[in-house]
Amino acid sequence: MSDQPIQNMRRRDFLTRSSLSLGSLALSQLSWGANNVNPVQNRIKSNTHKPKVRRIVYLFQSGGPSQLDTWDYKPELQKWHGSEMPSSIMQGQRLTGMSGNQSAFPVASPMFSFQQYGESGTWLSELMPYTSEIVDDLCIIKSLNTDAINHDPAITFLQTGSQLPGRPSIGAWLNYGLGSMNDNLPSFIVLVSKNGGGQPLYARLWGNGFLESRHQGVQFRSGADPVLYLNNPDGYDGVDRREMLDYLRKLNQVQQEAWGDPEIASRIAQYELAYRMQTSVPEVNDLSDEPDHIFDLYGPDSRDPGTYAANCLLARRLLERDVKFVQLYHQGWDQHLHLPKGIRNQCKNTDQATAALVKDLGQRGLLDDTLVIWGGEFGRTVYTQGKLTRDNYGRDHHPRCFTVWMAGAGVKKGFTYGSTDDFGYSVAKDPIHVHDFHATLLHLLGIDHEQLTFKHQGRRYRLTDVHGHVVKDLLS
Amino acid sequence: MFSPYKVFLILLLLNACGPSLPDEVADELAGIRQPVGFNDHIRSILSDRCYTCHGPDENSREADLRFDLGREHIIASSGAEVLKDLLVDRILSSDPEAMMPPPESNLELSDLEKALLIRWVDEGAKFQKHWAWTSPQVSDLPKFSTDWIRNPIDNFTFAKITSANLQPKEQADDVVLLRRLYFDLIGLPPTLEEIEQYLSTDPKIRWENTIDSLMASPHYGERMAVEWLDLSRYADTHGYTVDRYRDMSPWRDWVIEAFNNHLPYNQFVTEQLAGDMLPNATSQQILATGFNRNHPQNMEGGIVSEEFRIEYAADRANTFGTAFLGLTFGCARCHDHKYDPISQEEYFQVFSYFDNINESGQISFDNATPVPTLVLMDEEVAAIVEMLEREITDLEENMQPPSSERMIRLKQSLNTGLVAHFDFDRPILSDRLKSSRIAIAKTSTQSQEILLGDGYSGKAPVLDGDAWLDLGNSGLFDREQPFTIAMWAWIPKALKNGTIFHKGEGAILYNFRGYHVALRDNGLEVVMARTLPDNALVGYSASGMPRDQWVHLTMTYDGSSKASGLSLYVDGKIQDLVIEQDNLNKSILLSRDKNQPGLQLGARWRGLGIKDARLDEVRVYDRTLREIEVAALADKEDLGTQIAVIPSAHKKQEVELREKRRQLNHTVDSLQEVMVMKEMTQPRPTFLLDRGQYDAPLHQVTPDVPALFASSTTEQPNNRLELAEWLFDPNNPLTARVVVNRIWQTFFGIGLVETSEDFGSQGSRPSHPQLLDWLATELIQHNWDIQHIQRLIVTSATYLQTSHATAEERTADPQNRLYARGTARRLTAEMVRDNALAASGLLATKIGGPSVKPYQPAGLWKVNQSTYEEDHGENLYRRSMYTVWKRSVPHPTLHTFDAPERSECMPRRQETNTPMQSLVLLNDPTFVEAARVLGKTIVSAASPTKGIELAFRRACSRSPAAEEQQLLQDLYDQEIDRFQKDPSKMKGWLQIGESQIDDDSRRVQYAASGVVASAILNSDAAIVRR
Repeated sequence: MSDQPIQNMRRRDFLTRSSLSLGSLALSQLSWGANNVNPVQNRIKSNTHKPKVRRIVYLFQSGGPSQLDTWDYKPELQKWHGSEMPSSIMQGQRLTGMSGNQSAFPVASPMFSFQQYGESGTWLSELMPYTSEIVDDLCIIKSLNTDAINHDPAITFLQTGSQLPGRPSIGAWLNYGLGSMNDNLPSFIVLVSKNGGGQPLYARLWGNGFLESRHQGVQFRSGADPVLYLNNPDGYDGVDRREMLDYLRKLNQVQQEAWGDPEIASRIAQYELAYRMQTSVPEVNDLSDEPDHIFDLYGPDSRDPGTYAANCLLARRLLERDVKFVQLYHQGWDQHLHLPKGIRNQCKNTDQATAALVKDLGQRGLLDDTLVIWGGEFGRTVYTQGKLTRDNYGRDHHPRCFTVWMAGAGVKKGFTYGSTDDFGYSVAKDPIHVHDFHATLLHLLGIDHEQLTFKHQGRRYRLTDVHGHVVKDLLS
Repeated sequence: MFSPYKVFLILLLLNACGPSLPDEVADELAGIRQPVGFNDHIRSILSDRCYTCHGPDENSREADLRFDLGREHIIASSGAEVLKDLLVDRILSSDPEAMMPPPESNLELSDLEKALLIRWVDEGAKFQKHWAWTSPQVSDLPKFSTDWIRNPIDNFTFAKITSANLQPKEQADDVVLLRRLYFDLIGLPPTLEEIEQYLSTDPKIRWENTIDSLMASPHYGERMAVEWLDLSRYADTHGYTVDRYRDMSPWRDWVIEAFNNHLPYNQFVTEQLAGDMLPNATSQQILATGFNRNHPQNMEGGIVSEEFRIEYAADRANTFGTAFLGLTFGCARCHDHKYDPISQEEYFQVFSYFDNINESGQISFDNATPVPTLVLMDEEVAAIVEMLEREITDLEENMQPPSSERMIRLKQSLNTGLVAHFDFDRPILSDRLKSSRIAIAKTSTQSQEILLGDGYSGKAPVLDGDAWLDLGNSGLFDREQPFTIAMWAWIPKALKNGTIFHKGEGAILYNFRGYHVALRDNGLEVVMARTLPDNALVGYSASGMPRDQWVHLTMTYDGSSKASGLSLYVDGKIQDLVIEQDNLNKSILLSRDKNQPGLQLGARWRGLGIKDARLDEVRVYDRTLREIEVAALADKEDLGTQIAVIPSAHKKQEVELREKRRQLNHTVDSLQEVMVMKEMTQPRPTFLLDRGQYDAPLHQVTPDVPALFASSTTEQPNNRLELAEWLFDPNNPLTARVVVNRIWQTFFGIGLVETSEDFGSQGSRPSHPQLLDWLATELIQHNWDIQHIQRLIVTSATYLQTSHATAEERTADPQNRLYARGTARRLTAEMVRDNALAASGLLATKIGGPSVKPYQPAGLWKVNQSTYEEDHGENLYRRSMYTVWKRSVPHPTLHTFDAPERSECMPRRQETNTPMQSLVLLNDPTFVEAARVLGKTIVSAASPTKGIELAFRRACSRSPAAEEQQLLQDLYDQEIDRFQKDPSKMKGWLQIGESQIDDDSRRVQYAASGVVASAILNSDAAIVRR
């Protein structure tokens, strides 16, 4: 085997590599973490078009909210209530192991009343009175569909573009591709409603997959220690820490002089960023400077840290400080049984704050370059899971159509896209697949989804795998 | 895209007016002064930019042109012209229709790459086989006359170093080197005593002696195991969404012990891959196969079991490919590999080796260990179990005859042992023998009304297929208890599948624990299970039962835990049962104290029931009815018929037998099980799955290895064991290279092949191909002795160099791939924490056992509906590798320092440097407590100066430089001053962690020393191995 390097190539190879990595360092390594192993293989040379969106807040409704009881109004169902689902509608589609063995599949018409709202005349059920006030700001997709039928694969698919573990999450891709816009906070922050219940979440959903670990989401938690290990030992304040860190820095500088290793300088810089976070995180996390009318807007829960409402308010503060991607999770939408009671409760806990966030971003002008997304990992079946009674039914997972909405920068307002059949079972018009949804999201951020790639195990990976089309009709 | 004819046309056109050579490319061309080599320079370009459309994947191949098979193939299929002007024209073209790579691929060639391709074409476009597909070649050692060289490794590195106009470095400082060796071999720092002893030993022997003693240390196995655990995706939870705890620590401990016993690599791997198939396999060898089962397993309620069973087999195959062959094998699951010669067919051939265990895709919600399993016993328990089994066999073989002269009428006999009888004929559907026991129809949400219709006698419930009729606590039997369930059944013809009766908790969610009789494909299935599909008795009668009429159905069981002890009767006639599974070794009751479900009829939770069927006269006996008794229940025998009475001697033996079986069941039931491999006797047919999807089987495949390994002399392996043997064929081009590369990575951070997970054409070229091959050959020739290779490395001059370097030297070789200096690396996650614990003296050095729960911020597991309860005492200070590893919420102390999630095979870790790491080292209770305890060294020293020096050495092994000493001294004074002025600032420093300070009068000194020690533990000198 030949073993002779070509000097010329080695030199040039190194230069090309390093210039490539320098380019991407400029984008993504401004402040958040550093790496000493692999040059970044970022392939976005420049944004392909001017981005309309600078920040995203994704209000993830985990568990799969029923589209039929909220957004996807199907008046025909009343006639079918209690009757067996026509097989022409079900078409032998795969069902989950939870209802797939049922001996009967009776249609459950939603037990909530629907009404049209706004100038757009958007139909919405009584469950979301506050959201009904913002329908004219929304770009509603009724035809999203997914490949997965169970929570783990479906939520992993929606958050990473693949049903199987191991791929980077949306936020990690953005962090890798676009870098940070501020020096004091992570650019990808995760908020999970406290006391969630329902289907579990897992760190993989905001993980970095095969990207470098600095691209993963940083979870902000309610309570005294919002970021893990942010707080100094009790009693030791910021000034004390500053004075201690000055000595640590000098200690490391001695080491750097002795060894000449640039990695030491990088570590010194990480300590500085950590210190800045110790100040900036509590500041952004402390809602006490918000006026009463803002708390009133988000609802009483917003005064209780860690609730969905408080997290929506916190999300606004993070967006104000140019955090690029805020990912909220609210669990509990998995209403296999006792859906009417369950969904009423879910909506009560989220409706006001969701609407408030859109309004609040709007009144601050932030909606001009911020995108809000609301939705879960799949929809729910029109047939009941378990027994259908006068005031009770359940719905199983349904991947073939569900509703999500976006609001803010780059998307049409008071607009509804896609429709489903009379049973809300299959897409009738303009389907949007999860890959298309991701492609559109990246497009709004100025990224060609085919160009944001990372080479791993010999293959170039994308958020959209080898699929995805930008849905131009959604764009304003 | 193009037919060969079109290619020809374009070729003609382009030849006529080919694009001219751009200046930039011409410049690059002029700079290439040596011949280009295909493997050195061209393959990576073709692979990365061209193979997607012109590579091994047939389905995506364009223009019938492929660059992966060589010159002759291209000439034969497309003509020699392709390798002359056409390639050059296409890569230089700017016409979007003609240029290569095409614009829509988003791929480009750099000017240098274009120049290299042009030069390669000029030089005759010669191909070479990919280096990794040919067996390692032994080449002569490059000869140099320098006394720097200590062993052959150095000959190879020296050649590279000098050809890059660099010089190797001198040996590192003694203490630096000793610390390096300790972390590399045992993952812990040397103690001060060990340092002293080393320095006072004869320099001629001390290095080798230390290597010997470290390799003999029990911590050696721990250190080496950590990397193996990454590779083996070992964790303490099942993964996926529910992610509950599982204990595979006995397997982890096997790995530690295997390293400590210096098991040769071939044995080490063979036992893990196929220990179960070795002749007279020991339980340790079977335990080793847990390697294959460490992948995540899903217990989510609604999943399709087969979907995930396929995932598990795929994971095992992918892990095999990556861990042992350095192949990105999984890429060929959905289509032919895009870059390497592995077809989808070949993928499923390898997959089939791992497809052959009797497992379930959906694992049980009651935390039963997913089958197949090995029940672990220590010697004492094994002896008890063996004794009980012997006694049981004796009793079984020496039973008194079950008949006597004395006769009774059947009617009377049938009252004996009758423990429940539901006739559904009274207004309240109660048990005739126990009126408080009432049949209730249930679904998952609520109780239902029971619809009654005409029964076999009187009334009978009409079933809706969804609600099951719960007969209370009747039929609650464990596996040692003989019993009989009998009933009349009217089942509609339309039903082909559905549960007739069962004792258990729903369908697959609890892996069918209990027993049932069900329609299956029109036949009748009888199951008694601990955990389906493997730990169970399964019998099947294809003849089924008559429909649309009343039929008598009886199941009897004799308490033997053997399939032969199960019988099914239809209308009083015993049925021929095909035994599908005969392996029951634990209790069939659900592991709960209350609400043990009993007999249920006609449906099961989330399962298929028997819609519109009727069941009547349900009788339960706590004994095995005789055939004639069953016939009588089925109205095939007159109740007046006389039968022999069972003599009391026989009955007494039965009671004794049952008691022994109960003892055995009880003894075994509490024993730990671990997941292992167990080959099915009837091999499962494996199919090529279209797009890799579980529900799209195309055609059956048989086990085989990819054709690219044709050079191996071993015959085609037929099963997992032969596959393991095949791996260690000396001609296998990859096995030895892949492992020596990982060993190199252990000591130098980066492997000779940087992409230790990918030796294929998209992987990186080895920096020292000859060295890699030399080491691989050395390993094979030394009987796969891993320690031999490790010893060669740590005794080489290459390893011993100092890692000091000038800025120029770093610029010349930023990643240190030439080894013109020693390699500095941040300690791994485990080492960072273990170092702090060791320095403070807190470290508990116990080896093995279930994983532990050190400090972790409260509430982290909440997203997962679980609670992390911190341990106390010693378990807070165990080595980090024993920290409980929950895949969905990895422990932040370690995860922040790049310990992987362990959901998939991970041959190398990232090594990052982030602000979150700074926060961990500054504020994680583990490190604050370690700092306070290390600070005690300062408090109790004769002077702070001495104490600081000592604390520094304990954390960093070396003495502080004068400047460092002064800085720490100043910090100490500053903190003393701070805490004296405001004692409230000490609170956290004094209180965090379980350990207490022992002298309350010196609180200020303790707190200040803690801050100083924290600064030391945060410093580069502590966390970077230089």
